[in-house]
Amino acid sequence: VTAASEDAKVLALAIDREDRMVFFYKTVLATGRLTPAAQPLARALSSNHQAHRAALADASGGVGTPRDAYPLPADLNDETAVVRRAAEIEESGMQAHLKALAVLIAPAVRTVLASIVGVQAQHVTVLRSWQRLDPVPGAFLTDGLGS
Amino acid sequence: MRRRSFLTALGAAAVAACTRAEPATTTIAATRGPASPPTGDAALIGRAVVRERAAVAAYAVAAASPLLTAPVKARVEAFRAHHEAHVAAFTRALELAGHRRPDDLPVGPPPATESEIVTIEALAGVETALMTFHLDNVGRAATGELAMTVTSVLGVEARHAAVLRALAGGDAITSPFVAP
Repeated sequence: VTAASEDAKVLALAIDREDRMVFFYKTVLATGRLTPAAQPLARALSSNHQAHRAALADASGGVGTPRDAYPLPADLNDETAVVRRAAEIEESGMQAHLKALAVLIAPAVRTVLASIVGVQAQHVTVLRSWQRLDPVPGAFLTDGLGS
Repeated sequence: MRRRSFLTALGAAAVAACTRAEPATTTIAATRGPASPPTGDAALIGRAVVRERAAVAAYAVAAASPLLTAPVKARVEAFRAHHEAHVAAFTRALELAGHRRPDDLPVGPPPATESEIVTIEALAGVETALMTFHLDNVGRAATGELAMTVTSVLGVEARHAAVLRALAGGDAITSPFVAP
């Protein structure tokens, strides 16, 4: 067992989380449940996640193709529900990335993931603003979503 | 014991949230090296205290501007409180580990406040610089736990920057990555 192989395991899980988010946005964009005003946001966030996947794959020495499908919430009935679920999925993924930082070994790999966490925190903020919620509900990411 | 107090004080919630045990292999232990003395991390956190204090000072200047509208002023006050919480957490960690709090250093020129938009843009600049500073520290931290805790702070500053950029009429998210 080497540091690189241990980091690769952690990164594989992080990549899977990014793939899940790409799948989520791709699916909701295809359903037509987003208004024209919301579609560019969904596309932009999805594009960021694709970039995150590529960076993480590069950091881990390459990881295979995404799964064909991921489970989705059943209640994606309208834009309000989609945005709410997007915020939840983004927050969940961000928190998992944050915890992964504690076990990564290589400093350069930690930096890549921290850079992604920062932007994913911004995703949550934008989605919370869209819902007219406090965009920055706490002083630390580890505080969670707050109210 | 001293080191655990140090980390626990800084990021108890963050450390407790970490449920994945570190791999315990000889190879990895050798890669990590011996347990680092807290001195290196203490210096890192001391510098973070200084930078966060500078952010508090910048926000205080901005909040005093009579040109801010009520919603923007409320946002500025909220973000200042976050930076005060960062200062408090970092300082508490230093003191509990037996280190003295760092001296105040010159904080640079105050943010421009000629208009509301100029003030907002200046604060966005403060946040961007702080994010970059913390990201650099993530790579320097002796432990993953400290890297995670610093990222917890960095992420909130990334959120601040996004809100401020949007208030200034720009794109909230300008890149897929927090760039060093």
